[in-house]
Amino acid sequence: MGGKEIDWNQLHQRMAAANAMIAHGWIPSPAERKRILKERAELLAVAEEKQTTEQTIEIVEFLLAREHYGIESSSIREVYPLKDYTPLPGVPSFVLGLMNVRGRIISVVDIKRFFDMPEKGISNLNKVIIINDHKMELGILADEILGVRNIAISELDQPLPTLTGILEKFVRGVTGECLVVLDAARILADQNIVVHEEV
Amino acid sequence: MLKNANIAMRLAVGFGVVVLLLVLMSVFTRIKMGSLAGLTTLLYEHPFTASTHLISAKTNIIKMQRDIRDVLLANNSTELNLAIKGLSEAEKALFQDLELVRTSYLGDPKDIDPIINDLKAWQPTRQKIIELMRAGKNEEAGDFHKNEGALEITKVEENLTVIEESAANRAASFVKDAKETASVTYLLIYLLVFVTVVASLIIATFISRSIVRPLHKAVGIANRISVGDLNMAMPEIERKDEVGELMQAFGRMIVYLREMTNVAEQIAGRNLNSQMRPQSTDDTLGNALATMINNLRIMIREIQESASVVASSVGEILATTTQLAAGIGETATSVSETTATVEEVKQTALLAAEKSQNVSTYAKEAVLVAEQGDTAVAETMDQITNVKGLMEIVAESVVMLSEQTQAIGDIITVVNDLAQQSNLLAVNAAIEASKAGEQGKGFTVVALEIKSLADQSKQATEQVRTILSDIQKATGKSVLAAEQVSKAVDGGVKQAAESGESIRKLAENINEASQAAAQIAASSQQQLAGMEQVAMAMESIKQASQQNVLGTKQAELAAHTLNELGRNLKEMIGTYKV
Repeated sequence: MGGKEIDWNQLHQRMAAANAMIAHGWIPSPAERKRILKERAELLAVAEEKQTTEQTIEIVEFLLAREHYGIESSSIREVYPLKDYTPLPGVPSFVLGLMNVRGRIISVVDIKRFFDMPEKGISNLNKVIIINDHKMELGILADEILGVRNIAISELDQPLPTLTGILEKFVRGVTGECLVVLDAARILADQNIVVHEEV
Repeated sequence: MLKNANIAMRLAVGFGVVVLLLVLMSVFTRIKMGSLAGLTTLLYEHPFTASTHLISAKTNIIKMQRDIRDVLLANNSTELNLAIKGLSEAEKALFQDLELVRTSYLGDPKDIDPIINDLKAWQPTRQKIIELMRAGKNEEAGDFHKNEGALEITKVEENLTVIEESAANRAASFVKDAKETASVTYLLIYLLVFVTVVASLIIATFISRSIVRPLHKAVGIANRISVGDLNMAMPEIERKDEVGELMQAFGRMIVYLREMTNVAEQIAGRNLNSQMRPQSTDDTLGNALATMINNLRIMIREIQESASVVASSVGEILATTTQLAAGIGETATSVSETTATVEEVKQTALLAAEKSQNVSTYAKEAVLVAEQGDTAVAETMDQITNVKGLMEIVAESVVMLSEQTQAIGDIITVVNDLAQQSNLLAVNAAIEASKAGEQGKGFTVVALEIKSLADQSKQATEQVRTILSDIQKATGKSVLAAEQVSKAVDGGVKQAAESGESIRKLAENINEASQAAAQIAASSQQQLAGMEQVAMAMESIKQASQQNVLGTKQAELAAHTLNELGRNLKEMIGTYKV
């Protein structure tokens, strides 16, 4: 039974320490707590400064096939996990189906297909961003909701001139971090997205 | 001339000369005797004959004078012719008489010539008288005859008288001459005999000397050669006779002997390169020398080779002897060391005897210890079996822990779900806050905080999941370890059993070892006795090796001497030129 001699006393001590940790739960030590609070305060302080200096828009940032997209939060009613959706027959392929969100029926659209973007990357597609204007309400599929953030308007570049096709209409601008800011109002106003077919 | 003639010729010439002289003498004597006889004959014959003819001649002259008178007296031609005829006949007879006188005359025959000339001179006178007579002049003829003819006749008569007288004188002188001749002849004969004797003596001396002298020389040379003296000058060869040939032969012999001597001297001077050419097949000495040189060459070569071999062999012997000396020296040292070692071994044998007794004692104690060990092994086996049971309990506990972590994982999944929902709610709250405008601003911050918390929760759940995974792995390892411990314990039990067995065998072996130790003790005693004998033997060897060292040194010295000798031999043989 070779190997090192086991120090049973040390083992007992380690066990006691672990037990103590479990008994106290995840309460951080006073020093740790102070550090976390300081970090947050600094973060907030920087955000405040930015807001005051520039004209900004607030967007909800999300991931779609590993690319970053953003939609202005004013156009968004809410975000919701994708669950209990009902596929619809006789609709274009970009329409995933219908979903009941607190009593309201909302159609869910896969904008990748709608934009005729190539199907690439691994999609999770378990979140829905519900955008609305006074006439219409629409659910857009997203992989991940990254959060709300403010972007300076000056930061937005116009879409590339080479960008043609259907996507050009719906892009409001692209930030330096390759965040594509979509224009929700135009998506809602587009006739193509409205399924109006008489069978 | 004589020098070039050989001895036979010389002898022949000498005797010839003597014989010739004798013959000459006898011939001379004979001639002289003859001349004496002749003189006598002449004395009695010639003057008489001459006188007779002279008288006849005178008569004829008178006859002629009478005929001339007849002529003168002739009256007619017949008488005349008859007279002339008588004249010419008388004349003819006269001339015959004169010729006879001339032949028998002992004086000078020319003494007759004046008479003949006078007669011939008379002839024209007579012819003139005859012609005058024929012409009829008788008187003139008579005168003529009386004058001139008479003169001429007188002349002739006078001359004849002279001759007559001289003939008479001659006769007297002949006698005288004969007497003189006889005395001269005697003298000459004595002289010749004397000359012959003297010449014979001279010739004999000369010949004997000419033969004996060079022979003496040759004998001298032969004597010097016989005592081996070849330093004489080569005899000059002027002669072509037998002695000359003998000298030439001596000369060749000296040359030949000098050659031989030269060759022999070269051999003596250790030069065998000289080429010996025998003069002929019968040249025994030359052949013998040639054979000797050849044999010597072969012998010297063989000796040279042998000397080389001897030199190298001696060198090897020397080297070997040196090595041997060194080896024997080492041997002596080794023997000394061995003697010391034998002493040590003796001590060791003593020790071994003691130690082996100790071993016997220790072996008994060891058997006791082995019994205790056997008991200890049995106890160990019990303890190990206990360990096995405890390990099984530990494994059970670990598996239970693993199951409980599974439950924690479920809980964490729920928490994660909650965190996600909280996140979405936070986003919605932020959207709502922004819709509320200025009033919602504070709420936005709250919403962000909530989102942050939700994110942290999510991260925490991820960490917990990682930890759970680690715990899962650790428990897996623990279970495995427990299993291995269980198996190891089984092995331990087996090994402990084997150990017990080993200890038992060890005890038996020790028992045997104790017996062996007793035997060793006995052997050591014997060994001790043996080693003492060895020590004595080593002492003898030591003395022997010391003697060996001395002997080898002598052998080395001898080899050195031999080496020196070999080198000398080689050098000596090397001086021969082969």
